Amino acid sequence: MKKSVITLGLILTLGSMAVSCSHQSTSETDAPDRYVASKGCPTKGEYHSYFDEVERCLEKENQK
Amino acid sequence: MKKLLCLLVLLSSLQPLNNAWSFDTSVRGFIALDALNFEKVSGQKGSTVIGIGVLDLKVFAEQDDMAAAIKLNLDGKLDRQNTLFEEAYVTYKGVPDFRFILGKGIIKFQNLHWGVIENTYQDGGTIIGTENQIRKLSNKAFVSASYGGRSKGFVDQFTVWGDSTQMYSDENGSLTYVSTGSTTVKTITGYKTEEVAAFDTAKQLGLANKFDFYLTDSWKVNFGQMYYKNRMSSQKANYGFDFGANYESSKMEFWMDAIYGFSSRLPYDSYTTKVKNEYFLQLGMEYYLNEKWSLVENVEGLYVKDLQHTYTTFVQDGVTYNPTSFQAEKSGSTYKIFTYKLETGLKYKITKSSQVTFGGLYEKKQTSVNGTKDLAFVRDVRNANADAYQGSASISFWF
Repeated sequence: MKKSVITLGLILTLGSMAVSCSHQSTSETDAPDRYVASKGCPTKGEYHSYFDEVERCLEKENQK
Repeated sequence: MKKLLCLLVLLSSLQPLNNAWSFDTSVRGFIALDALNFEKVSGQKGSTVIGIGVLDLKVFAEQDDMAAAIKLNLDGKLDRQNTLFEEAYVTYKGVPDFRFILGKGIIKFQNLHWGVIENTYQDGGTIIGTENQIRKLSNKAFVSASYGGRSKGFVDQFTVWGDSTQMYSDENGSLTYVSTGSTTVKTITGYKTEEVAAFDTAKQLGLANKFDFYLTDSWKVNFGQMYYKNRMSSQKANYGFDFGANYESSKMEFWMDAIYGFSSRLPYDSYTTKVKNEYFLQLGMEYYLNEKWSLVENVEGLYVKDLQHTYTTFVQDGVTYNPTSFQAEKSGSTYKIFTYKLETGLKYKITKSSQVTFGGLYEKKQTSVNGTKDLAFVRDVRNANADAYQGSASISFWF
């Protein structure tokens, strides 16, 4: 029973991933660059404030 | 494990297909490796430490006016699940200049800043050990609201928070002792506590505020306050005040943090104190010698005046409770503890997001008990009168 549930789950997961991927466009104009939001953000900083600075920067870039 | 795997697989399968990749995410991290770290405390054998100093990973996800962040503190003790997630919160940004945050994480009121080769005293950066009660507040459940931004010239963040551990009370509302001994004669070693996912304001209440004021493009100052009341005890509330300043230019960076704190805890609580007053000061600077090298200095001082509870024999519900020998030893005493550290070092920039730090640290602690100085041993004060030094070469990498 457990094996069949795991097998079914795996098939559904792989299937949904395949369908999702097949709907993604590969052309540069259609596909947004998912990492562009963090490209201009700090790549270095003080230990306690680094993540706060990155968070503020991501927020700003997402508002643009 | 199998059940968890099944659940994970099924949940993954049930996600709507059109939402599978529809939000923006970013993963950022920081790792500091102690390439060579030698520590020596007076009276003890020196040791070399090699390994991971810090390893933090934070995942950001944004969609419309909502954002979520999860920070993994991977250098923590992994045997405790709750410490793995240092932060996990959701932010709502639908109202201009306002942000509403709910979750678990760090409560902001201090101007925390790393030193040269060690963290600040506010975040456990010591070899010799410190006795400050007011520290970085992390792993707390909280709800907060902030207003402002860099463009407005200020940000104010107000937080209501609670601890992840609460004292356990019986059906009569009384605290329960953890004790040893026979059924009629016992000694108390602590209170029964419970770990909670959400805090109960009838049992505890924490408040904090941090006001950041951008004076110029280079200068920023901040004022912070924290308040915490354990409502299950008759002890006074704990509170702290912080003032910090930062300066940053192409030539140098300067940081400063000053804190006054008051705390009081129940007699058999961990890190107990009847009345503790503490004063903390940190000053530091980084001077950029050229594009590759910079000189870093950091000084921290901490003065703690700690009045201990008085422990005597008492009878409650037919049971006689005697103090332990440790409790009797420190009963009613006043400890005055002064700890300071001096750090110096050089940073070498390897790439845009990595550096090597070479540095040294000297630290000293002086403790007096009821006016008596230079005692070799003081109950519950680690390295009561000792000094220590540390030499370190570490590699830091941001990604």
